[in-house]
Amino acid sequence: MIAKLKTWLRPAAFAWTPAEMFIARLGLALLLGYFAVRTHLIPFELVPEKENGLVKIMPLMWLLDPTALLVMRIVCGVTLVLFVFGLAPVLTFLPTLFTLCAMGSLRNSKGDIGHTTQVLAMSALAVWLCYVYAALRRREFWRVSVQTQRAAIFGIILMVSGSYVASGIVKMKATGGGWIGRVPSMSVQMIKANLSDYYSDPDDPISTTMTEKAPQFFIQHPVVAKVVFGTGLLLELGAFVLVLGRRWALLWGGSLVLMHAGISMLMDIEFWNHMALLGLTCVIPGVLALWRERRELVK
Amino acid sequence: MTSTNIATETDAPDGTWSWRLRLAACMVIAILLVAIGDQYPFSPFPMYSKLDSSADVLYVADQNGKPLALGKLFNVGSAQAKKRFEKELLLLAQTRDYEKAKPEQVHAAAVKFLETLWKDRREHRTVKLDLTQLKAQIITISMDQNEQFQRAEQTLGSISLKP
Repeated sequence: MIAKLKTWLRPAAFAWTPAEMFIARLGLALLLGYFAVRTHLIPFELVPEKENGLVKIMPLMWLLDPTALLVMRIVCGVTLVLFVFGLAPVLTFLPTLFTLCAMGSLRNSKGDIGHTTQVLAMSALAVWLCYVYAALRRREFWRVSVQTQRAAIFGIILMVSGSYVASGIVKMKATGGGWIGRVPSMSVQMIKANLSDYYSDPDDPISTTMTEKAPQFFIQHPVVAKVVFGTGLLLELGAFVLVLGRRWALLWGGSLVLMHAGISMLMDIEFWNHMALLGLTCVIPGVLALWRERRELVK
Repeated sequence: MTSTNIATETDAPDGTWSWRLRLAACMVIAILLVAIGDQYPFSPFPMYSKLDSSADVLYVADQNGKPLALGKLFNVGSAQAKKRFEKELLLLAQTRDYEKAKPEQVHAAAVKFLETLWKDRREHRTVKLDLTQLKAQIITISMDQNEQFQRAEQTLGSISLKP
Protein backbone atom coordinates (compact mmCIF):
# COMPACT_ATOMS: atom_id res chain seq x y z
CA MET A 1 0.00 0.00 0.00
CA ILE A 2 2.78 2.42 1.04
CA ALA A 3 4.86 1.36 -1.98
CA LYS A 4 1.86 2.02 -4.22
CA LEU A 5 1.34 5.45 -2.64
CA LYS A 6 5.03 6.25 -3.07
CA THR A 7 4.82 5.37 -6.73
CA TRP A 8 1.65 7.37 -7.16
CA LEU A 9 3.14 10.48 -5.57
CA ARG A 10 6.52 10.25 -7.28
CA PRO A 11 7.54 13.58 -8.88
CA ALA A 12 6.69 13.59 -12.57
CA ALA A 13 6.69 15.84 -15.60
CA PHE A 14 3.64 17.81 -16.67
CA ALA A 15 2.62 16.17 -19.91
CA TRP A 16 -0.51 18.14 -20.68
CA THR A 17 -2.33 17.29 -23.88
CA PRO A 18 -2.90 19.99 -26.53
CA ALA A 19 -6.61 19.97 -25.61
CA GLU A 20 -5.85 20.59 -21.92
CA MET A 21 -3.49 23.40 -22.86
CA PHE A 22 -6.14 24.91 -25.13
CA ILE A 23 -8.58 24.90 -22.19
CA ALA A 24 -5.94 26.56 -19.99
CA ARG A 25 -5.18 29.22 -22.64
CA LEU A 26 -8.87 29.88 -23.20
CA GLY A 27 -9.47 30.18 -19.44
CA LEU A 28 -6.49 32.48 -19.02
CA ALA A 29 -7.68 34.65 -21.91
CA LEU A 30 -11.19 34.86 -20.40
CA LEU A 31 -9.77 35.86 -17.01
CA LEU A 32 -7.48 38.43 -18.60
CA GLY A 33 -10.28 39.66 -20.82
CA TYR A 34 -12.51 40.17 -17.81
CA PHE A 35 -9.99 41.79 -15.49
CA ALA A 36 -7.69 43.59 -17.92
CA VAL A 37 -10.21 44.70 -20.49
CA ARG A 38 -13.56 44.92 -18.74
CA THR A 39 -13.00 45.95 -15.12
CA HIS A 40 -9.59 47.60 -15.25
CA LEU A 41 -9.95 49.79 -18.32
CA ILE A 42 -12.04 52.55 -16.80
CA PRO A 43 -10.96 56.15 -16.21
CA PHE A 44 -10.22 57.39 -12.70
CA GLU A 45 -8.58 60.29 -10.91
CA LEU A 46 -4.96 59.76 -10.06
CA VAL A 47 -2.59 61.76 -7.93
CA PRO A 48 0.64 59.79 -8.32
CA GLU A 49 2.23 60.70 -5.03
CA LYS A 50 3.23 57.16 -4.27
CA GLU A 51 4.12 55.50 -7.54
CA ASN A 52 3.84 51.75 -7.68
CA GLY A 53 5.10 49.10 -10.08
CA LEU A 54 5.33 50.07 -13.75
CA VAL A 55 4.42 53.69 -12.98
CA LYS A 56 7.87 54.03 -11.42
CA ILE A 57 9.65 53.20 -14.64
CA MET A 58 7.49 54.58 -17.46
CA PRO A 59 4.85 57.26 -18.04
CA LEU A 60 1.41 55.64 -18.03
CA MET A 61 -0.98 58.51 -17.35
CA TRP A 62 -1.89 58.61 -21.05
CA LEU A 63 -3.75 55.32 -20.51
CA LEU A 64 -6.35 57.13 -18.40
CA ASP A 65 -7.54 59.10 -21.43
CA PRO A 66 -10.99 57.76 -22.50
CA THR A 67 -9.90 57.45 -26.16
CA ALA A 68 -6.75 55.52 -25.19
CA LEU A 69 -8.87 53.25 -22.99
CA LEU A 70 -11.24 52.50 -25.87
CA VAL A 71 -8.36 51.75 -28.26
CA MET A 72 -6.71 49.45 -25.70
CA ARG A 73 -10.00 47.62 -25.14
CA ILE A 74 -10.32 46.88 -28.85
CA VAL A 75 -6.65 45.93 -29.28
CA CYS A 76 -6.70 43.64 -26.21
CA GLY A 77 -9.97 41.97 -27.23
CA VAL A 78 -8.78 41.17 -30.78
CA THR A 79 -5.28 40.03 -29.80
CA LEU A 80 -6.59 37.82 -26.99
CA VAL A 81 -8.71 35.87 -29.49
CA LEU A 82 -5.61 35.32 -31.67
CA PHE A 83 -3.67 34.24 -28.58
CA VAL A 84 -6.22 31.55 -27.69
CA PHE A 85 -5.57 29.97 -31.07
CA GLY A 86 -1.83 30.11 -30.43
CA LEU A 87 -1.01 32.65 -33.14
CA ALA A 88 2.20 34.69 -32.60
CA PRO A 89 1.75 34.68 -28.82
CA VAL A 90 4.77 36.94 -28.20
CA LEU A 91 2.84 39.69 -29.98
CA THR A 92 -0.77 38.76 -29.32
CA PHE A 93 -0.32 38.32 -25.56
CA LEU A 94 1.66 41.53 -25.03
CA PRO A 95 -1.11 44.19 -25.24
CA THR A 96 -3.22 42.50 -22.56
CA LEU A 97 -0.21 41.82 -20.33
CA PHE A 98 0.88 45.44 -20.66
CA THR A 99 -2.62 46.78 -20.04
CA LEU A 100 -3.15 44.64 -16.95
CA CYS A 101 0.24 45.62 -15.46
CA ALA A 102 -0.15 49.28 -16.39
CA MET A 103 -3.67 49.68 -15.03
CA GLY A 104 -2.82 47.63 -11.94
CA SER A 105 0.20 49.84 -11.28
CA LEU A 106 -1.87 52.99 -11.78
CA ARG A 107 -4.56 51.70 -9.44
CA ASN A 108 -2.06 50.72 -6.78
CA SER A 109 -0.46 54.16 -7.11
CA LYS A 110 -3.65 55.57 -5.61
CA GLY A 111 -2.54 54.05 -2.32
CA ASP A 112 -5.13 51.29 -2.03
CA ILE A 113 -2.94 48.35 -2.92
CA GLY A 114 -5.29 45.51 -3.76
CA HIS A 115 -4.32 41.91 -4.33
CA THR A 116 -7.02 40.74 -6.71
CA THR A 117 -5.15 40.65 -9.99
CA GLN A 118 -1.47 40.30 -9.07
CA VAL A 119 -1.44 36.51 -9.31
CA LEU A 120 -3.05 36.78 -12.73
CA ALA A 121 -0.58 39.43 -13.88
CA MET A 122 2.43 37.47 -12.58
CA SER A 123 1.18 34.32 -14.30
CA ALA A 124 0.62 36.23 -17.53
CA LEU A 125 4.15 37.62 -17.29
CA ALA A 126 5.58 34.11 -16.84
CA VAL A 127 3.59 32.84 -19.83
CA TRP A 128 4.78 35.70 -22.03
CA LEU A 129 8.43 35.21 -20.97
CA CYS A 130 8.18 31.55 -22.04
CA TYR A 131 7.01 32.67 -25.47
CA VAL A 132 9.79 35.26 -25.70
CA TYR A 133 12.36 32.60 -24.80
CA ALA A 134 10.97 30.25 -27.45
CA ALA A 135 10.98 33.00 -30.06
CA LEU A 136 14.58 33.93 -29.33
CA ARG A 137 16.06 30.47 -28.79
CA ARG A 138 13.97 28.23 -31.01
CA ARG A 139 12.73 30.76 -33.56
CA GLU A 140 9.13 29.91 -32.67
CA PHE A 141 7.26 33.08 -33.46
CA TRP A 142 4.06 32.58 -35.44
CA ARG A 143 3.37 29.14 -34.02
CA VAL A 144 4.88 27.63 -30.88
CA SER A 145 5.63 23.97 -30.18
CA VAL A 146 3.80 21.76 -27.69
CA GLN A 147 6.92 21.93 -25.54
CA THR A 148 6.70 25.73 -25.36
CA GLN A 149 2.98 25.64 -24.63
CA ARG A 150 3.68 23.21 -21.76
CA ALA A 151 6.42 25.47 -20.43
CA ALA A 152 4.00 28.41 -20.58
CA ILE A 153 1.30 26.56 -18.61
CA PHE A 154 3.94 25.40 -16.15
CA GLY A 155 4.96 29.07 -15.77
CA ILE A 156 1.48 29.70 -14.34
CA ILE A 157 1.87 26.88 -11.78
CA LEU A 158 5.32 28.16 -10.86
CA MET A 159 4.02 31.68 -10.19
CA VAL A 160 0.94 30.49 -8.31
CA SER A 161 2.95 28.12 -6.10
CA GLY A 162 5.64 30.76 -5.49
CA SER A 163 3.00 33.31 -4.47
CA TYR A 164 1.45 30.93 -1.91
CA VAL A 165 4.84 30.12 -0.39
CA ALA A 166 5.67 33.85 -0.28
CA SER A 167 2.39 34.55 1.49
CA GLY A 168 3.20 31.88 4.09
CA ILE A 169 6.73 33.25 4.59
CA VAL A 170 5.37 36.79 5.07
CA LYS A 171 2.98 35.54 7.77
CA MET A 172 5.80 33.81 9.62
CA LYS A 173 8.11 36.80 9.20
CA ALA A 174 5.53 39.35 10.41
CA THR A 175 4.80 37.40 13.59
CA GLY A 176 8.27 36.06 14.32
CA GLY A 177 7.02 32.56 13.57
CA GLY A 178 4.09 32.87 15.97
CA TRP A 179 1.26 33.33 13.48
CA ILE A 180 -0.71 30.32 14.66
CA GLY A 181 -0.53 31.59 18.26
CA ARG A 182 -2.27 34.77 17.14
CA VAL A 183 -5.01 33.02 15.23
CA PRO A 184 -7.75 33.75 17.82
CA SER A 185 -7.38 37.43 16.73
CA MET A 186 -8.63 36.23 13.35
CA SER A 187 -12.13 36.61 14.83
CA VAL A 188 -11.69 40.39 14.83
CA GLN A 189 -10.48 40.19 11.22
CA MET A 190 -13.53 38.08 10.33
CA ILE A 191 -15.84 40.78 11.66
CA LYS A 192 -13.83 43.44 9.85
CA ALA A 193 -13.87 41.55 6.54
CA ASN A 194 -17.62 40.96 6.67
CA LEU A 195 -18.35 44.57 7.68
CA SER A 196 -16.05 45.84 4.90
CA ASP A 197 -17.99 43.76 2.44
CA TYR A 198 -21.28 45.10 3.80
CA TYR A 199 -20.17 48.76 3.58
CA SER A 200 -18.91 48.22 0.05
CA ASP A 201 -22.51 47.48 -0.87
CA PRO A 202 -24.97 48.16 2.00
CA ASP A 203 -27.90 47.06 -0.18
CA ASP A 204 -26.87 43.45 0.44
CA PRO A 205 -28.04 42.20 3.86
CA ILE A 206 -25.34 41.49 6.44
CA SER A 207 -25.05 38.02 7.98
CA THR A 208 -24.97 38.04 11.79
CA THR A 209 -23.67 34.45 11.65
CA MET A 210 -20.44 35.70 10.14
CA THR A 211 -20.15 38.98 12.07
CA GLU A 212 -21.15 37.62 15.49
CA LYS A 213 -21.70 33.89 15.90
CA ALA A 214 -18.73 32.48 13.95
CA PRO A 215 -16.15 34.94 15.44
CA GLN A 216 -17.47 34.19 18.95
CA PHE A 217 -17.22 30.45 18.25
CA PHE A 218 -13.55 30.74 17.29
CA ILE A 219 -12.84 32.81 20.41
CA GLN A 220 -14.50 30.18 22.60
CA HIS A 221 -12.75 27.32 20.78
CA PRO A 222 -9.20 28.55 20.08
CA VAL A 223 -7.94 25.05 19.31
CA VAL A 224 -10.51 24.72 16.52
CA ALA A 225 -9.46 28.16 15.23
CA LYS A 226 -5.81 27.12 15.22
CA VAL A 227 -6.55 23.88 13.39
CA VAL A 228 -8.75 25.60 10.78
CA PHE A 229 -6.51 28.58 10.05
CA GLY A 230 -3.27 26.69 10.75
CA THR A 231 -4.21 24.21 8.02
CA GLY A 232 -4.45 27.16 5.65
CA LEU A 233 -0.97 28.32 6.61
CA LEU A 234 0.43 24.83 6.07
CA LEU A 235 -1.21 24.65 2.66
CA GLU A 236 0.43 27.96 1.74
CA LEU A 237 3.88 27.09 3.02
CA GLY A 238 3.72 23.66 1.38
CA ALA A 239 2.43 24.92 -1.96
CA PHE A 240 5.84 24.25 -3.55
CA VAL A 241 4.64 20.66 -4.06
CA LEU A 242 2.36 21.97 -6.84
CA VAL A 243 5.39 21.85 -9.14
CA LEU A 244 6.14 18.17 -8.46
CA GLY A 245 3.73 16.77 -11.00
CA ARG A 246 0.08 16.44 -11.90
CA ARG A 247 -0.90 14.24 -8.97
CA TRP A 248 0.61 16.63 -6.42
CA ALA A 249 -0.88 19.56 -8.32
CA LEU A 250 -4.31 17.92 -8.24
CA LEU A 251 -4.15 17.04 -4.53
CA TRP A 252 -2.61 20.29 -3.28
CA GLY A 253 -4.30 22.53 -5.82
CA GLY A 254 -7.69 21.00 -4.98
CA SER A 255 -7.00 21.55 -1.27
CA LEU A 256 -6.09 25.19 -1.91
CA VAL A 257 -9.32 25.68 -3.87
CA LEU A 258 -11.25 24.25 -0.90
CA MET A 259 -9.30 26.56 1.44
CA HIS A 260 -10.34 29.57 -0.64
CA ALA A 261 -13.95 28.39 -0.66
CA GLY A 262 -13.81 28.17 3.16
CA ILE A 263 -12.28 31.66 3.49
CA SER A 264 -14.91 33.00 1.14
CA MET A 265 -17.64 31.52 3.33
CA LEU A 266 -16.16 32.76 6.63
CA MET A 267 -14.82 36.16 5.62
CA ASP A 268 -16.60 37.05 2.39
CA ILE A 269 -13.25 37.51 0.64
CA GLU A 270 -13.14 36.10 -2.86
CA PHE A 271 -10.03 34.70 -4.52
CA TRP A 272 -11.46 34.06 -7.95
CA ASN A 273 -8.15 34.45 -9.78
CA HIS A 274 -6.28 32.06 -7.52
CA MET A 275 -9.10 29.52 -7.71
CA ALA A 276 -9.47 29.85 -11.47
CA LEU A 277 -5.73 29.48 -12.14
CA LEU A 278 -5.53 26.45 -9.85
CA GLY A 279 -8.58 24.99 -11.56
CA LEU A 280 -7.20 25.54 -15.07
CA THR A 281 -3.68 24.25 -14.46
CA CYS A 282 -3.97 21.75 -11.59
CA VAL A 283 -7.50 20.50 -10.98
CA ILE A 284 -9.04 20.17 -14.45
CA PRO A 285 -5.99 18.56 -16.14
CA GLY A 286 -5.46 16.31 -13.10
CA VAL A 287 -9.05 15.07 -13.09
CA LEU A 288 -8.95 14.53 -16.86
CA ALA A 289 -5.74 12.51 -16.60
CA LEU A 290 -7.14 10.37 -13.79
CA TRP A 291 -10.26 9.75 -15.81
CA ARG A 292 -8.17 8.69 -18.83
CA GLU A 293 -6.06 6.43 -16.65
CA ARG A 294 -9.13 4.73 -15.21
CA ARG A 295 -10.64 4.29 -18.66
CA GLU A 296 -7.46 2.64 -19.95
CA LEU A 297 -7.37 0.30 -16.93
CA VAL A 298 -10.94 -0.79 -17.61
CA LYS A 299 -10.00 -1.56 -21.23
CA MET B 1 5.80 10.50 -28.01
CA THR B 2 5.13 11.47 -24.42
CA SER B 3 2.27 9.59 -22.84
CA THR B 4 -0.44 11.76 -21.36
CA ASN B 5 -1.40 9.08 -18.86
CA ILE B 6 -0.93 10.37 -15.33
CA ALA B 7 0.41 7.02 -14.18
CA THR B 8 3.13 6.73 -16.80
CA GLU B 9 4.46 10.27 -16.95
CA THR B 10 8.15 10.21 -16.34
CA ASP B 11 10.36 12.98 -15.08
CA ALA B 12 11.52 15.48 -17.67
CA PRO B 13 10.70 13.35 -20.76
CA ASP B 14 11.20 16.10 -23.30
CA GLY B 15 14.05 18.13 -21.91
CA THR B 16 11.90 20.14 -19.51
CA TRP B 17 13.06 20.93 -16.01
CA SER B 18 13.69 18.15 -13.52
CA TRP B 19 11.53 18.22 -10.38
CA ARG B 20 14.47 19.45 -8.29
CA LEU B 21 14.98 22.40 -10.60
CA ARG B 22 11.25 23.13 -10.50
CA LEU B 23 11.28 23.12 -6.69
CA ALA B 24 14.31 25.41 -6.63
CA ALA B 25 12.64 27.80 -9.09
CA CYS B 26 9.52 27.91 -6.93
CA MET B 27 11.51 28.75 -3.81
CA VAL B 28 13.54 31.43 -5.64
CA ILE B 29 10.31 33.05 -6.87
CA ALA B 30 8.83 32.97 -3.34
CA ILE B 31 11.93 34.62 -1.86
CA LEU B 32 12.03 37.23 -4.64
CA LEU B 33 8.35 38.08 -4.09
CA VAL B 34 8.99 38.62 -0.37
CA ALA B 35 12.04 40.77 -1.16
CA ILE B 36 10.33 42.89 -3.87
CA GLY B 37 7.16 43.49 -1.86
CA ASP B 38 4.05 45.07 -3.32
CA GLN B 39 5.23 46.46 -6.67
CA TYR B 40 2.64 45.60 -9.29
CA PRO B 41 2.52 42.98 -10.79
CA PHE B 42 4.57 41.46 -7.97
CA SER B 43 3.21 40.86 -4.49
CA PRO B 44 4.00 38.62 -1.53
CA PHE B 45 0.27 38.63 -0.67
CA PRO B 46 0.66 39.94 2.89
CA MET B 47 -3.05 39.88 3.75
CA TYR B 48 -3.74 38.82 7.35
CA SER B 49 -0.05 38.40 8.11
CA LYS B 50 0.00 40.54 11.27
CA LEU B 51 -3.30 39.58 12.91
CA ASP B 52 -3.76 42.60 15.18
CA SER B 53 -6.27 42.39 18.02
CA SER B 54 -8.19 45.38 16.69
CA ALA B 55 -9.32 46.34 13.20
CA ASP B 56 -10.84 49.36 11.47
CA VAL B 57 -13.58 49.52 8.88
CA LEU B 58 -14.16 52.70 6.89
CA TYR B 59 -17.40 53.65 5.24
CA VAL B 60 -18.81 56.76 3.64
CA ALA B 61 -22.19 58.11 4.68
CA ASP B 62 -24.50 60.77 3.26
CA GLN B 63 -25.78 63.87 5.10
CA ASN B 64 -28.24 61.70 7.06
CA GLY B 65 -25.63 59.20 8.16
CA LYS B 66 -26.84 56.54 5.71
CA PRO B 67 -23.97 54.35 4.41
CA LEU B 68 -23.35 54.75 0.68
CA ALA B 69 -22.66 51.85 -1.66
CA LEU B 70 -18.97 52.50 -2.31
CA GLY B 71 -18.65 49.89 -5.04
CA LYS B 72 -21.63 51.01 -7.08
CA LEU B 73 -21.14 54.76 -6.62
CA PHE B 74 -17.36 55.15 -6.53
CA ASN B 75 -15.99 51.89 -7.95
CA VAL B 76 -14.05 51.14 -4.77
CA GLY B 77 -14.56 48.74 -1.87
CA SER B 78 -14.52 49.68 1.81
CA ALA B 79 -11.09 48.10 2.40
CA GLN B 80 -9.55 49.94 -0.57
CA ALA B 81 -11.22 53.20 0.50
CA LYS B 82 -9.61 52.86 3.93
CA LYS B 83 -6.20 52.38 2.33
CA ARG B 84 -6.72 55.53 0.25
CA PHE B 85 -7.56 57.50 3.39
CA GLU B 86 -4.49 56.04 5.10
CA LYS B 87 -2.33 57.12 2.17
CA GLU B 88 -3.58 60.69 2.54
CA LEU B 89 -2.93 60.51 6.28
CA LEU B 90 0.57 59.17 5.68
CA LEU B 91 1.37 62.13 3.43
CA LEU B 92 0.09 64.62 6.00
CA ALA B 93 1.04 63.04 9.32
CA GLN B 94 3.71 60.44 8.45
CA THR B 95 1.54 57.72 9.99
CA ARG B 96 -1.22 55.48 8.70
CA ASP B 97 -2.74 55.20 12.19
CA TYR B 98 -5.44 57.82 12.70
CA GLU B 99 -5.17 57.42 16.47
CA LYS B 100 -1.52 58.54 16.36
CA ALA B 101 -2.18 61.59 14.17
CA LYS B 102 -3.42 64.99 15.32
CA PRO B 103 -7.21 65.53 14.95
CA GLU B 104 -6.69 68.32 12.39
CA GLN B 105 -4.43 66.04 10.32
CA VAL B 106 -7.05 63.27 10.42
CA HIS B 107 -9.72 65.74 9.34
CA ALA B 108 -7.57 67.14 6.52
CA ALA B 109 -6.74 63.62 5.26
CA ALA B 110 -10.42 62.65 5.37
CA VAL B 111 -11.39 65.76 3.40
CA LYS B 112 -8.72 65.05 0.76
CA PHE B 113 -9.84 61.42 0.57
CA LEU B 114 -13.51 62.39 0.16
CA GLU B 115 -12.72 65.01 -2.49
CA THR B 116 -10.79 62.47 -4.56
CA LEU B 117 -13.52 59.90 -4.05
CA TRP B 118 -16.14 62.39 -5.26
CA LYS B 119 -14.12 63.03 -8.43
CA ASP B 120 -14.20 59.28 -9.12
CA ARG B 121 -18.00 59.06 -8.76
CA ARG B 122 -20.24 57.36 -11.26
CA GLU B 123 -22.30 60.41 -12.00
CA HIS B 124 -25.29 58.62 -13.49
CA ARG B 125 -25.73 56.86 -10.13
CA THR B 126 -24.85 59.62 -7.65
CA VAL B 127 -27.08 62.15 -9.39
CA LYS B 128 -30.16 60.18 -8.27
CA LEU B 129 -29.26 60.36 -4.57
CA ASP B 130 -29.59 64.07 -3.82
CA LEU B 131 -26.32 64.12 -1.92
CA THR B 132 -25.35 67.32 -0.10
CA GLN B 133 -22.64 65.97 2.19
CA LEU B 134 -20.18 63.07 2.38
CA LYS B 135 -18.89 61.83 5.72
CA ALA B 136 -15.95 59.47 6.27
CA GLN B 137 -16.84 57.21 9.19
CA ILE B 138 -14.56 54.69 10.88
CA ILE B 139 -15.57 51.72 13.02
CA THR B 140 -12.97 50.18 15.33
CA ILE B 141 -13.54 46.57 16.36
CA SER B 142 -11.54 45.20 19.25
CA MET B 143 -11.66 42.42 21.80
CA ASP B 144 -11.62 43.16 25.53
CA GLN B 145 -10.08 41.06 28.30
CA ASN B 146 -13.34 39.13 28.74
CA GLU B 147 -13.11 38.13 25.09
CA GLN B 148 -16.08 40.27 24.18
CA PHE B 149 -16.07 42.27 20.97
CA GLN B 150 -16.19 46.05 21.33
CA ARG B 151 -17.24 48.43 18.60
CA ALA B 152 -16.55 52.18 18.50
CA GLU B 153 -17.44 54.60 15.70
CA GLN B 154 -16.36 58.13 14.86
CA THR B 155 -16.47 60.66 12.04
CA LEU B 156 -13.07 61.34 10.49
CA GLY B 157 -14.17 64.26 8.37
CA SER B 158 -16.81 65.49 5.95
CA ILE B 159 -17.23 67.61 2.83
CA SER B 160 -20.20 69.59 1.57
CA LEU B 161 -21.21 69.03 -2.01
CA LYS B 162 -22.19 71.96 -4.15
CA PRO B 163 -25.43 71.46 -6.06
